[in-house]
Amino acid sequence: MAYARRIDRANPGCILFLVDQSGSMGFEMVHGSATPKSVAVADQINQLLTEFVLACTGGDEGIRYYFDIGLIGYGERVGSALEGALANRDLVSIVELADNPITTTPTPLWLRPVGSGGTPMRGAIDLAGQLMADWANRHPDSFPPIVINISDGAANDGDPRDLAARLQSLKTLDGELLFFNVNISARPGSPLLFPSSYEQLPINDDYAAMLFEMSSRLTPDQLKEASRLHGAGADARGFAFNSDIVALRQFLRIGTMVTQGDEHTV
Amino acid sequence: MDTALFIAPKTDRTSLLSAEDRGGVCVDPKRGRARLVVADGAGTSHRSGLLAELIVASFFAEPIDAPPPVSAGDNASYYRWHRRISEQWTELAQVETGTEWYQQQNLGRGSAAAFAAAIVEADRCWCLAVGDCCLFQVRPGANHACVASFPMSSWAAFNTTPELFQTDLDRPVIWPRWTHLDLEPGDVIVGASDGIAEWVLAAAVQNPEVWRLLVEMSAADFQDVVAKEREAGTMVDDDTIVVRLVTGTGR
Repeated sequence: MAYARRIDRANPGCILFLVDQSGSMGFEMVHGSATPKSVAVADQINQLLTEFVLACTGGDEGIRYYFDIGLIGYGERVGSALEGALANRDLVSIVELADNPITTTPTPLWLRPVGSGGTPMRGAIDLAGQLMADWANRHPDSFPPIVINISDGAANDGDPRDLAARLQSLKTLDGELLFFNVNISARPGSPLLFPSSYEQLPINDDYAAMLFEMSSRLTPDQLKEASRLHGAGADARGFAFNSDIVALRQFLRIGTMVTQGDEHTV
Repeated sequence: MDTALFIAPKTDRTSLLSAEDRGGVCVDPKRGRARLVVADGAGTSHRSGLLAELIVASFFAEPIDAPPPVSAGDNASYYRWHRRISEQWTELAQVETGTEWYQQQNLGRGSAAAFAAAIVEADRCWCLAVGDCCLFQVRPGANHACVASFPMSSWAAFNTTPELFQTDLDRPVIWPRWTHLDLEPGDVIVGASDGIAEWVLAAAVQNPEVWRLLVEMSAADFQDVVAKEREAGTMVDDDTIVVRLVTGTGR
């Protein structure tokens, strides 16, 4: 059965975030609020990484190498969004991540909010493909990598669909790579989480259709949780459209669910 | 009263000491008394092996001819026991925890564990459990039979989010489930952590002989079974413990 591999030190997992850092990410997340989208996204990712670290430091053994983590930003440039001791590193172990936040006061921080430049999403997906192909080759028995792309707009460096398909074709013995997409927006209207068909998308919205097409189906465990919390259907995909902060948070928690170590899920 | 204890850490453990399962059995054969307990620290909670150790130690802290540390169905008794263990854990974990930000955050969140315990008094056995550690009452015979399985009676009941004993005293106390068993001479009480308990219950559906294995296996048999079933993917690769007590045969 696919997506059944438990994550442990012998078979670590990999989660890569592609974060839109274009100029429009500096605009407000919600009409009337002072919080830019870049800040809201960075807050959510930093919280999630904190949870990852804490989940890997339980028990009596100190921190366990359960994950490789990557933060790729795309805006003025495409590349690692990590700073300090981890600057320019595309993938780092959870152990290195735990030991090298930019600051821990008031809360641990690895990703700073940035909003500048264009939206080279195609370049980011291309880089993700190179990194994940290498990772999958080195970890053939692991749970397949999860790549989560968070953006507020369309790519302006070309249609990324061919590269997304290539990314999704990567695999380990436990299944194909999971590529999930989150569109964040300040537009009014309800967020659309984990749709399972084109009919659920906004009518005549080519951008939504493209992101849906690029998004992998949820794993059985993720689907179970998405169904329980959001009524997701049988073929639900890892896609969120018109997300606000709450929807982004919910999406990230389900989209990064894997079975870890002994019994608990992250 | 014969006893046995087997433990197999999960395969990626760096040492046996870092396993998060603990257990023990204590007997007074003259009085027909015994106590048995298994505890399984939650891998994602802080210093959970220490918590499992405290649960086991506190269950044996008093002489066996004294009243048990927790009384059947007595919430006040359980609450005192729970509080005492939680306070001990907090005190010890503070000393043993480093200063890194994640160590301190985990310390603040406390620890968690599942446990199952049995108090044998002559021909009666009181059982209590929080979470998915299990107790089996097996009656040897031409066909070994499982008379009782507590608190889980089916492999399908196991999941990744069992209720757990929590050291965070600001959280509501999870009250244990209680039951009592009527014993016949020679009945065997087996305490098991969740991984092997789930496997036993699943295997027994097709092959009741697994109850004989549980009662008669040696330490080497146990290691063989665990290794083989983990390899086959039919047993979770987790810290695994079994504690066995053969009750009096001379009454």
